[in-house]
Amino acid sequence: MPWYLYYALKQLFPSKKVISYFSMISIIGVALGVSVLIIVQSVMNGFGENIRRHLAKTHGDIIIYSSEGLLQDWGGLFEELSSDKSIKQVSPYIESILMVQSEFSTAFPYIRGINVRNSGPNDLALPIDEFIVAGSYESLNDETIFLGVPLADKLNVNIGDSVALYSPKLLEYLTEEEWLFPKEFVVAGLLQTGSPKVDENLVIGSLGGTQDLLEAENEITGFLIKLWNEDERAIESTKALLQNRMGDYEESLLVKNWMDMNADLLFILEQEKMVISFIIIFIILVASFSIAVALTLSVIRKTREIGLLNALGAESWQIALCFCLQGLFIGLVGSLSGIAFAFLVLENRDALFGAYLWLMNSNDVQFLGVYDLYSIPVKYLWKDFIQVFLLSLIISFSAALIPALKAAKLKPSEALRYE
Amino acid sequence: MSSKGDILISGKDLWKSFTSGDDEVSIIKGLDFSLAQGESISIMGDSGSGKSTLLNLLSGLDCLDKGSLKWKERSIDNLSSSTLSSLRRSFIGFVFQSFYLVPDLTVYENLYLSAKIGSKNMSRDVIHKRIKKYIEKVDLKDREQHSVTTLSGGEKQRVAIARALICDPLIIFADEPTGNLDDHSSKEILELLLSLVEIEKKSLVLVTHNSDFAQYTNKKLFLKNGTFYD
Ligand SMILES: Nc1ncnc2c1ncn2[C@@H]1O[C@H](COP(=O)(O)OP(=O)(O)O)[C@@H](O)[C@H]1O
Ligand SMILES: [Mg+2]
Repeated sequence: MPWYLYYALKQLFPSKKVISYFSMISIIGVALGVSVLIIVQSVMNGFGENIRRHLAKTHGDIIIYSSEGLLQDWGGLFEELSSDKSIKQVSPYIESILMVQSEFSTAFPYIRGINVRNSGPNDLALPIDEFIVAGSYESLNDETIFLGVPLADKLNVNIGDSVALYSPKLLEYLTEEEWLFPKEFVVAGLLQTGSPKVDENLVIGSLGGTQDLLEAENEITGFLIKLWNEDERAIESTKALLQNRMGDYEESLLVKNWMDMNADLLFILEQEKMVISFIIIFIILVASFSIAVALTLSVIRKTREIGLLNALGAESWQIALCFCLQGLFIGLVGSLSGIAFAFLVLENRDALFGAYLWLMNSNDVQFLGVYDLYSIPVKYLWKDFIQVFLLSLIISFSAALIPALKAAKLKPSEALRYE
Repeated sequence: MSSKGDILISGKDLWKSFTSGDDEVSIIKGLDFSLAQGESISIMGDSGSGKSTLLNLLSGLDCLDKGSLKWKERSIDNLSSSTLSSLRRSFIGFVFQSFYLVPDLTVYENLYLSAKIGSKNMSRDVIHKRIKKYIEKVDLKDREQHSVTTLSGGEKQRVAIARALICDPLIIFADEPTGNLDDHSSKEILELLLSLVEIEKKSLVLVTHNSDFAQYTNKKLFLKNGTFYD
C-alpha cells in the first residue's frame, strides 16, 4: 500500500477511534444528499408508474375508431384484428354522451357499451371487473347499467334503483316537442376506476343495450385493444403497424394508444420529473460542499503536518492524492450508506408516513386515496442508482480536489511555521 | 558510502529575505556553511535570528534568493521540488522543537508512515524490523501501540528521533529539540540524540539555546545579523 493511501485511510479511520469526527460529518452529508435523491426519484418513479398503469388500465392499450362517426360493417375488421398475433383482446364498444335522470338529480355522463354477451370479464380489453365495487359483472345485460361511484352519489341512486337515460337523439326529438319516453335502466353495479374525473362521468352498459338506446343498430364507435406485450415501446410499435394496416382498410380509421390519449398528463409528469431532478442536483451540491468544507478545514488544520510530510520526503502530487483519496472514500462510503439509508426509508415508508401524519395531526389521509394510492408507490430504477452513485463520487472527488491542490501548493517552510 | 570527512552539504554566499507587508527583511546575508560526514555542528542565536530559516534552506524546504548549495558535490539549486523531495528522503532526517508527530496515529504508525514515505524499496518486513529496532533504541517498547497524543513531551521527542533515523539518512537536523521540554527531559533527549548520532555515525546539525549542549558538538556557530560569528 503506498503511503498516501495508508495516510488517507488512517485519517479517516484512526486506529484508536472508529472513525474521525470530520470524516463522519462529511460522510453523513453525502449520505443525506444521496438518500434524498434516491428517495425522491424512486417515489417520483413510483407515482409516475402508478399513474401510467392506471391510465393504461382505464383506456386500454390501443383504441381504434373512425373520424367519421359510427362504424357499420365491422365484422371483417373485428376478425382481422382478432387474428393478429400481437393482440390479446379486441372489444368492440360504442360510446356517447347522454343524460341520466334519477328521482333526485340529472347528470350528463358518457355511456360506453361493451360486448358482454359472449365474453367473460377476462375477455375484455378493459378490466371492468377490477373496477366493480358493488354488484357483479354477470348482472350487466341489455336492461342494466353500471355507474361510477361519484356519479351514483350525485344521482343519489344505489344498486337496484332505476334511472332514465336520454340519448342525444332523443333529446333532439324532445326539443321538437315530440312526446317520447326515455329508456329505463336498472343500476346493477357501481364502479371505481380510481380517478374521480373518470368515475364522475362513467356509465357502462352492454353493447346491445347501448346500441338500442342510441338507435345505432349494430353500429359501434370502435375497438378497444389489449396487447400481449404491454411494454410502452411495444405498444408504440404495434400502433404504428396497425396505423398502416387501418389506413389501407379505411382511411377514416384512427389508431391511438393510451399515451396519445393522455399526452397532456404524461407531458406534465415528464416535466415534473425533470424539474425535480434539477432541483435535487442542488442538494447534492450542498452535500459536496460539505465535503469541500470538511477537507478544506482539514487541510488548514493539518498545515503543519503537510509541512512535515514534505520534510519527510513526500512529493506534492502524493500529498494532493492523499486528500483526493479521502474525498473519494468519503464519497464512496457516503454514497453507499446513503443508498442503504434510502432503502431503509423506502421499505418502511408506510410506517414512517403514518408517523408523520400522526405527528402533523392530519386527518387528511384521504387525499392519498384520491388516486387509489393508500400506500406511497415506489419504483426502483437501477439506472437512477448508478447515476446518483457516480455523480456523487465525481462530485466528492472534485470537492476534495480544491483543498488537495491547496495542500500540494503549500510551501513546506511556511507550512512548518504555521501555528 | 561517504567516508568520514566527505563534505555532505556545502553552501556558498547564501542569501534569504522575507517580505512582510511592504518591508523586505533580510534574514540570511551571504553566509557560508559546510558539513562533513560524521561531523556535528551546533548553531546558536537569538530567537528570530534565522536559525530555522537556515535549516530550511540547507534542506531544500525553502529556496535561496541567491547563492549556491551542494549536497555531496551535487548542485541542488535548479532541481525540481519532487527531485529534491526524493533526494531528501535518504539524506536528511528532522527533529523539530514541537515534535510534529501525526496526532491520530500510534507510535508504531508514525514510524511506519515515515518509513513508507522515505523508502520506496524497503519491504514490509524490513520496515517492521527497523521500526522494532528503533523503538527499542529510544526505549518506547511498551508505548508502541499507544496514540502519540497520550505521550509526554520527552516521549514524543523520542518518537521523533526514532522517526528521523528510520530511513537511515546521512544527516540529522535537530531544530531546538529540547525547546519544549523541562530540564530533566532535555538532558535525557540530548544524550539520546547525541549517542545515537555517534553510534549510527550520522552528521548532526543542532540548533539550541543551551550553550552547555553546544559543547558536545564538534563545532559551534553563532548566528547573528544573518551571518556566523565563531
Ligand atoms: N516564511 C516567512 N515569511 C515571513 N517571515 C519569515 C518567514 N520565515 C521566517 N520569517 C522571519 O524570519 C525571521 C527568522 O525566523 P526563524 O528562522 O524562524 O528564526 P529562529 O528559528 O532563529 O528563531 C523571523 O523574524 C521570522 O519572522
Ligand atoms: Mg526556530
